[in-house]
Amino acid sequence: MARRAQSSVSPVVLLIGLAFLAAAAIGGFFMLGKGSKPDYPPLNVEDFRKNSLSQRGNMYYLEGTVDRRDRVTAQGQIITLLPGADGKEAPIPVFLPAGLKGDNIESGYRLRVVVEINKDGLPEARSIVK
Amino acid sequence: MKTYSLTLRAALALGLATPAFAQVFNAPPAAPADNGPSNTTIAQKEEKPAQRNVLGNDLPAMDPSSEVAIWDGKAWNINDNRVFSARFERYLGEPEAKSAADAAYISTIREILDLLSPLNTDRDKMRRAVVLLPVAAEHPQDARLCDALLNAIFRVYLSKRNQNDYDMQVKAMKDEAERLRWKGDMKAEERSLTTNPAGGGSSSRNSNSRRAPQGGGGQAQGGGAPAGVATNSLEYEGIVKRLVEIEVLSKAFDAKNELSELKTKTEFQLLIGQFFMQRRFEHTIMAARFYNQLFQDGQATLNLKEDSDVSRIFGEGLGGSPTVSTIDTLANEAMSDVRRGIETFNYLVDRGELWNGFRRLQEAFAIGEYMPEVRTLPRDRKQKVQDFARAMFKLTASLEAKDFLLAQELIDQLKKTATDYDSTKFEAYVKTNTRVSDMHLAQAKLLFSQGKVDEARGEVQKAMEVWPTNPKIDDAVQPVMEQADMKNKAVTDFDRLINDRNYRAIMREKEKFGAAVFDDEPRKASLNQIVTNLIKIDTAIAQSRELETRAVPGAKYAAWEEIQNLVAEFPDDAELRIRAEELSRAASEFVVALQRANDLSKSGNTGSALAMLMEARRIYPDSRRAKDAITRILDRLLPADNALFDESTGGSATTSTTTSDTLPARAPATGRDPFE
Repeated sequence: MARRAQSSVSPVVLLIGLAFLAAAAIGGFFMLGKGSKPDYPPLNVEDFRKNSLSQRGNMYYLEGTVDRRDRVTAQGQIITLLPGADGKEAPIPVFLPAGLKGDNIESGYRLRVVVEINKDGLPEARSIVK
Repeated sequence: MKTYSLTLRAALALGLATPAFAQVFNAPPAAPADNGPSNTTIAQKEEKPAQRNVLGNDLPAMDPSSEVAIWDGKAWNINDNRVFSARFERYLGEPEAKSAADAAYISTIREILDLLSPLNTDRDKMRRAVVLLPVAAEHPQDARLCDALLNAIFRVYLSKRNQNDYDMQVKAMKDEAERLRWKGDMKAEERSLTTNPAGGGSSSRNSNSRRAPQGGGGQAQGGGAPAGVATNSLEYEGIVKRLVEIEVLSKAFDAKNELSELKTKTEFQLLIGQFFMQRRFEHTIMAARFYNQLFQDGQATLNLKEDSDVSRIFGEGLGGSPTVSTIDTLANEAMSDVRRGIETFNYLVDRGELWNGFRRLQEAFAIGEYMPEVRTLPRDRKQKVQDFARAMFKLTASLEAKDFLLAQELIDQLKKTATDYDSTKFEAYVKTNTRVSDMHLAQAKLLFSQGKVDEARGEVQKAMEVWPTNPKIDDAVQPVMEQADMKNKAVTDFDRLINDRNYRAIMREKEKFGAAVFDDEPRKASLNQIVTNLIKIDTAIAQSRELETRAVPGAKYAAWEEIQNLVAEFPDDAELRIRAEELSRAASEFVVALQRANDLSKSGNTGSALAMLMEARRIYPDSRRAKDAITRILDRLLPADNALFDESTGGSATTSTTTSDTLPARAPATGRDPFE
């Protein structure tokens, strides 16, 4: 009887390779889909609610869902932002100066901004992260 | 006879209340006992002359039928008189006069009376009776009256001795006058050695001797005796003058003698009258009989001063002035009356008729307090009416004081004590007055209920005048007193509660306080304000409760906000604060967010404050407080006057200029209360 010839690639190696490829694909998807994060720490919302003055002059990265636009003036607008990925954290105010082209922001809009805590302890957007 | 008896009783009534110092007569000013020996007939008067007697000095009029005396402008019943009541009650408690001294005194007086009896023909009776007077005077119960009588008799003796002197002096004057006449006649017969013979002659001498006593002018007219001789002599003139003097002296001496005798009699009569008025009838009889012995004119009219009290008494009763014998008879009649009264008393007491027995003994005592029959009445017999007498006197006192409750009790007690007691008049008097008083009180209550306070007070006053101790007066007066007290207390309480800021307590009794301050405008305004505000608070609290129960999201937050608005307005109201705390617990998440926002804003932490307000708004989206606070912060950060869109105004966009050049600078955020 004739002997069957064995396969040249091991199945284990094949599985490991497939897993690696999947991980690379997922990572690439997220890296390419979300864009890159600015090089600023995220704003600690709890600290902010307790005493925002202690964060004055610091720059933070902030991401959340726009709850409402409280006041819009020619100087800019103050919005209510619900931080966090799911928008369930306690609301905080954010001042969007007029130069940031945030006029089209609406309630429910997902916003990523770099903010600086101004002298009033109010987060003032410095840039909107696309 | 009836008039006679009335006079006797009236006279005795006077003596009843004036036993020792009554105004016996309206004696002349020189009469008082301490003015000299001429007034020693009333030496037993121990009291000062000016001292008034207990019931005044006016003489009473007595109505024996009703036992009522008019005295000193007042009408009184002998049963009611306090002085008499006290004396009679004391008499009832005293032991009878049965000592050896008492018996000796009574015996002595009896012996004097027997000696002086008209039936006694003993020629020496006067002397024997006078000798016994000092013996009787030694007994204390005599009160030295026999001494006074003895003094009066002594004065009569002295007066009679003066009469002998008078007779001797009159005789001497007559003798001297006779001698002077003879001497005058002799002088008139005198002839001068140089007498003109032509003018002489026996006939002319005789003629001169007759004329001389008549003035001695005969010789001069007839060219008579020369100067210094016969009727023209100084000696003759002196004789005539002396004769005239003796004539005048004689007349004056006669007049003085008559006056002295009258005075002595008058003083003795005064003493008799005084004994009678003092109800010392035995002494009256003794004095009257001594008088008859001394003056022998017992039927002579007493020398009473016209219009004097005593004169009126006897005059009105007898129709004329009394004599010494009249008084003697009156005294005997009084003594007889007293004896009959005591006999009747004994009889009635034996029959158990205490009421009538009491009255008879009272009458006997009133007339003959010092008589042996009264003084020797056994105490055990007197004691039978003593309790009755006490109750009677207490009854009259209670009626005088208008204590009709006590009076009725005493009447009931007396009716039980004495079966013959007639209470009709007393009971009628008590019932009439008590009913009149009650009627006034009923009227007062009616007027009170009608709000006619002044008229009601008048009725209460009338009720009190009729019956001061009416127990129903308190019931009638109480509403007035309480009304006044309640008003004062309510006003005081109102002020205190205002000071304590305890407006709820005022609210709870707003009707009471309303009635108390209805005429007090400032307090009334305060009360109205308190009531209005508390109604507002209570309404809000009620609404908050109702709101809390609703199944509506955010209802408890809405209720909390409603109450908080009132808490700011009325921070002192406890119930409002309690309700606010209840709601604060129920809406704690929302309240904490607002409170933290407030705290952060005050510390200048505008960003955090705004974040907390946004949190509060997230919890209760309709929160007016959160919205208003957010708006105020936004106004500072981004003034609304050029807002393109303002959520706080409902999301409408403003149309202000949008160019950045015209934008005002952002207002600096300062630490302020976002809720202000």
